[in-house]
Amino acid sequence: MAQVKYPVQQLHRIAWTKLTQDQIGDKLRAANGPSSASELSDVYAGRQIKIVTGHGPALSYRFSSRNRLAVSENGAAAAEAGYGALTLGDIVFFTHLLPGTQRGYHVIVDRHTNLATVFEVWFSGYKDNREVQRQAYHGYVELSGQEPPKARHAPTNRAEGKGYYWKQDSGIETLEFYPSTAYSNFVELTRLGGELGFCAPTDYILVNDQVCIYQRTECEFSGIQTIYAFDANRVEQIGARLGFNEKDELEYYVFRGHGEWLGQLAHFEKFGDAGVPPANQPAAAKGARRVYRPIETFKTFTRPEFDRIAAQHPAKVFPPGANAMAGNKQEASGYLAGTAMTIRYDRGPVIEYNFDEIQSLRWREQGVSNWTVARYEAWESAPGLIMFAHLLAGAPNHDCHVVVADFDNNLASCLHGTMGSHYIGNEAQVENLFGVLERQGSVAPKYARHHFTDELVGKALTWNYSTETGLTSMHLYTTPHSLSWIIFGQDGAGGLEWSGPAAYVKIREGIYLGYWLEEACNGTLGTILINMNTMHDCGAGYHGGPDGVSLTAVGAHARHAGQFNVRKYFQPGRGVSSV
Amino acid sequence: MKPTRRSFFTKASAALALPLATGAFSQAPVAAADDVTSVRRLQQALAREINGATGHAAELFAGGTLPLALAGVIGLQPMDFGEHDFIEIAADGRTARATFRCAVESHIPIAAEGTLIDMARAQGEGFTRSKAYRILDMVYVRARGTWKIDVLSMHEV
Repeated sequence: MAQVKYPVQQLHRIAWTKLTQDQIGDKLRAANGPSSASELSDVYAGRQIKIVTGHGPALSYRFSSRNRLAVSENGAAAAEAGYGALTLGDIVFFTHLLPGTQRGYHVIVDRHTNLATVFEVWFSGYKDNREVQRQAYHGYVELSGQEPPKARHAPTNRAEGKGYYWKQDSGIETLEFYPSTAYSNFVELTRLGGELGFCAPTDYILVNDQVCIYQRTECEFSGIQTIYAFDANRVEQIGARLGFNEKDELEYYVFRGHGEWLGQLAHFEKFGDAGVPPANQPAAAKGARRVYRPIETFKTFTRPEFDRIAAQHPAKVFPPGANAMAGNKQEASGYLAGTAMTIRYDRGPVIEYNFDEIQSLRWREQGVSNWTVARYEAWESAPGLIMFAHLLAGAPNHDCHVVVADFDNNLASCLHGTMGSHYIGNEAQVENLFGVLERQGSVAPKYARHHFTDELVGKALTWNYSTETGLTSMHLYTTPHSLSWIIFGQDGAGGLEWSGPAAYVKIREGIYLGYWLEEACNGTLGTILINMNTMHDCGAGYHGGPDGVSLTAVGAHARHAGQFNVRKYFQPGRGVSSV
Repeated sequence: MKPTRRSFFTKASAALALPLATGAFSQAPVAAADDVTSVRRLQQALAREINGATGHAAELFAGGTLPLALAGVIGLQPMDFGEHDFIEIAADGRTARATFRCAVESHIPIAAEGTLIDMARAQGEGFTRSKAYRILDMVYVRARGTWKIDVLSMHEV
């Protein structure tokens, strides 16, 4: 079994070099066309074609060989360039850069219809020069004596909900999910060890009933671009990768790959809606795309700065008033009021509790004489299954405990949240604690514990947080260690998407405790107890911001949105981390 | 009695353009019919600009800015076939006032913080839609021969 190559830093933790235009120019000058692990196609060698696009360039090509071409843009003088082409049935994909520039083209031609899509790509078009910019133009291959075809390739939602395992000819393996019309999620099994899934803005262009063009740019990370045409029946792909990796090396190659269909998530658009809603289509400006850039809106602090802020601002713990994330939350439970218990965590603290009122408790670590009063809120997810959460005033890291107490089995699980990571002072971190409940008149188990599970991995659930506001997202549990969330547009199409590290614990049959960390995002720790029997969750969000620490309720109604068959990719035998 | 759209159907067309007014807003001459038409067109233009989110609605206002009453408003739809609408031209022909009944559709930003809201806003959403029936009280001024909206306020029907 090949050793898994885990990265020193995951994508969201890399301090990506701000490459200058000159540096990029130098690196592009050294490229002489794309490399390829597969033999390049000679489908166009010795031929000339002209591609006409609407609102875009007319490109006249003369292919002198299988890796050299001359291209004229809009009738201008031709420039020679290296190129690479691959075919997949009737589909031809070829790519080239324009020497002396930071631009190039990816071209996809359907030889059956003579329709073509041209992606113009360029660097140094955004404040982060390394982020590949793109503009898609749809047109056709001009044939002398023939009327231009009227049809065009077009943005589509037909790929939405699909998911594939891909293995490229270079050996690179990925899981790629398309839960949105504007974004996609990718798990790098080979490059990054498959621990986490990441998200990137994505174009989906329908070529024909079985072939779709996929283009993603890893904005907020390397800025690298992956583009391919894939055949949903053959489960094969041809495409290219263009951009600068974590070593600032140019990656420019064509690839072919084959894969496995992983499943299909539900669509939530109206029946008959097979296009892409305007909100998810690029704006008129060249290169425009909707990109979620979370770190731009995350107000970050160093740990000393945040300690001062927290000292100046009383923590907000389940504050009264409207909460858009909890419009559909469960009622606060009085199950615990008037009770006392001890939770003994394995290799963790032993916490004694007195629940004095429905929202007021006292806690202390065993052996400590003084009690600390805390505001809490509890929810009864199932009979005898209580989730409650509170802050640990006086603890060193603005700590919180989000506890699931199973009174039928005397088991407890805790998500111990702390504020401050190695990178950001007000970014939450978390550890899972497992233990038992000790109460008068009952005996705790010696060996049984809640445990991590992969039963959720690959599932997608929608969560409607508020009937009033309609705020709804979809969770996609992408790996045993990550979770992605997708925002819907008002037309029901999947829109922006992001992801974070996560873990899942099985509490009872159909009931799971999960968390996700909004690392390099807005720093929140999200915790939920998912009850798939009631299709309702309860939970708490733990956040540190300019107003100090907050602990607020979360609650939403769920719907099943489908499942990807991906658990096998995270089994120990594959060498990828397992639960 | 104020003239109404219904009176338009029961009287001559000019009747609508000739409000029965008091005070500074007096019975207008027949020539004022053109002004009534202009004001009505101005009001229709306002609805078109708002409904089309053209970003040019402010140009219809004498002050060049949208009034607070239109903050978050994304739709203005006439109600009751205009039968309760009323346009009145001042005797000096320099100002006018009107009332219009409209269905007013508004975006109300969801009052929350967090990633989901940030993402919703980033894709042009993150609000709730509401529709309410309102009376628009309008005052117009003629500036360099062109009617502009001077004051727009709303109240419940």
